[in-house]
Amino acid sequence: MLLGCLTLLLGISAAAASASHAATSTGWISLGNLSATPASVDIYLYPAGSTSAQLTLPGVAYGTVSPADSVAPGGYSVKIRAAGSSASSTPIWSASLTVQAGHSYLAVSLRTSATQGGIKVLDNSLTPPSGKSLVRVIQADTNQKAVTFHCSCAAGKPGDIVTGAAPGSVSSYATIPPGPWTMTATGPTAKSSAPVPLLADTVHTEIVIGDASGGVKIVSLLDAAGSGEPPAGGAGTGLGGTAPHGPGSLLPWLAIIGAGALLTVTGGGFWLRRKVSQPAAEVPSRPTARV
Amino acid sequence: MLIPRPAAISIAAGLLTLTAGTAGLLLTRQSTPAMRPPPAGVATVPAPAGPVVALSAGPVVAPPAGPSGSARPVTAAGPVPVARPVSLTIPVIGVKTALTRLGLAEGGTLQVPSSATVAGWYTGSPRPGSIGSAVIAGHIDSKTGPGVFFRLPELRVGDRIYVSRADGTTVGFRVTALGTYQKDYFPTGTVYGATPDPELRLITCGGTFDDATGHYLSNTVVYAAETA
Repeated sequence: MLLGCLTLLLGISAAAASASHAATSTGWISLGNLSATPASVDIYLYPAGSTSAQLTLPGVAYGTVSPADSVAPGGYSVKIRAAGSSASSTPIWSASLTVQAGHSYLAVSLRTSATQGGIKVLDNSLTPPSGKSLVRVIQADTNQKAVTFHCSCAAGKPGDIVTGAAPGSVSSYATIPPGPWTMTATGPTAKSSAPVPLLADTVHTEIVIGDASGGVKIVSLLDAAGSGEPPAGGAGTGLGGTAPHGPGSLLPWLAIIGAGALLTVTGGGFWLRRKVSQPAAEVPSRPTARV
Repeated sequence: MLIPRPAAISIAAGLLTLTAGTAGLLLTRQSTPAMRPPPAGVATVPAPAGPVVALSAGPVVAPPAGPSGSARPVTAAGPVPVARPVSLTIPVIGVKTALTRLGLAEGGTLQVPSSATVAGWYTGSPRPGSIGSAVIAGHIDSKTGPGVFFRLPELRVGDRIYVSRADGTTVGFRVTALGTYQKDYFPTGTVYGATPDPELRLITCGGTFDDATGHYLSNTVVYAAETA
């Protein structure tokens, strides 16, 4: 059965995946075709319960993935039809997914063999470890039954992001330091290498696809990126020239008031003392009556 | 009854001083108001001339003729390098500024532009238009008047922002959210964290100005996403 073989319904399980720090309340979705047959497809994204497509990707060739589109959280269905088919025709594959705010999804057609396949829905990580890069591998070449995917960033076997990857498989994320690395995909009958520079705080997907001559190719996707070295704390972007300023200190004014009060009391006291001590001397003596 | 001259002088001087001190105390209890509305001479500016390009360059598939819904090209290529940003235009609030390059200051904090009249792009963040959050900072004011981002808090969801790049291309963004945060609780992950699409963060100061330290206590952040 082709239909629904790899169809995944993301719901509660998606909550466990890492979400973005984004301030927006949206999610994101990328759509792509990683199935060699049919080599070109039309991909539709429908809001749940709607027959009117919200997004249409026509003629998507094998090995191509769209950039992330911002979508509202909620239920969606993805339907894939052979390129040029009527929009009302029965799709080759379909899948449902639930988009959560702050999450980014990748929905692609993917085959496990020449006769079996479906739509794989992945909840992308948006939280690479600080200063590191996350890399995963999708094995999308049914001609290579077991692929080893190696990164030049580490000596020896730990440099293998995945070994013996079967067609249609998706590796877990490997944490890799930033650098100008070379990735190599090695299958039973083909091998290919590609330069893949990794920056800090990025998330990548490396896709192994087959080519027309029986060889393999590496398609490198940048799924998400942040600032490699986030500054600490906020920014000092203002000097206060337009800000309201609070009242100054009370002390200078209280000192002036105190000095004024002291002068007044001193002067008043001096006057009162003079007033009390002078009456007897100043009152003229009653004139003596003369007979 | 006469008041002796020394006492009269003392009392008069005391009362005057008392009155002046009381008046000064009462008058300075009023705070200096914020400078509002925006200064004269700052008006809206037009969006930059020339094409506004989307990031998703690479193999482009022709749009369909039939199916409903929006259609867009897809690419098999990896991320496409974009040129460094050189200027910023925000028509609705009259901002048109060159962009300096910002790194990290001592202590690992964000370096800020040396002039309040220009904004700067943090070179540790992605370039505007490439995947991730490009970060641009500018002053809300100098010591004497408004800075380049004085009117940033007036932006609303849906307003457009344009960044011109060294190769002559311009990338457009749409405001998706605004936030004001105390600097002690600055949301580093939200502002600088990874995103799957090309986004923009504009940072300036906001909130209360602390006269004692000479700094604002908060930051205002404008979030924007690339327009198709």
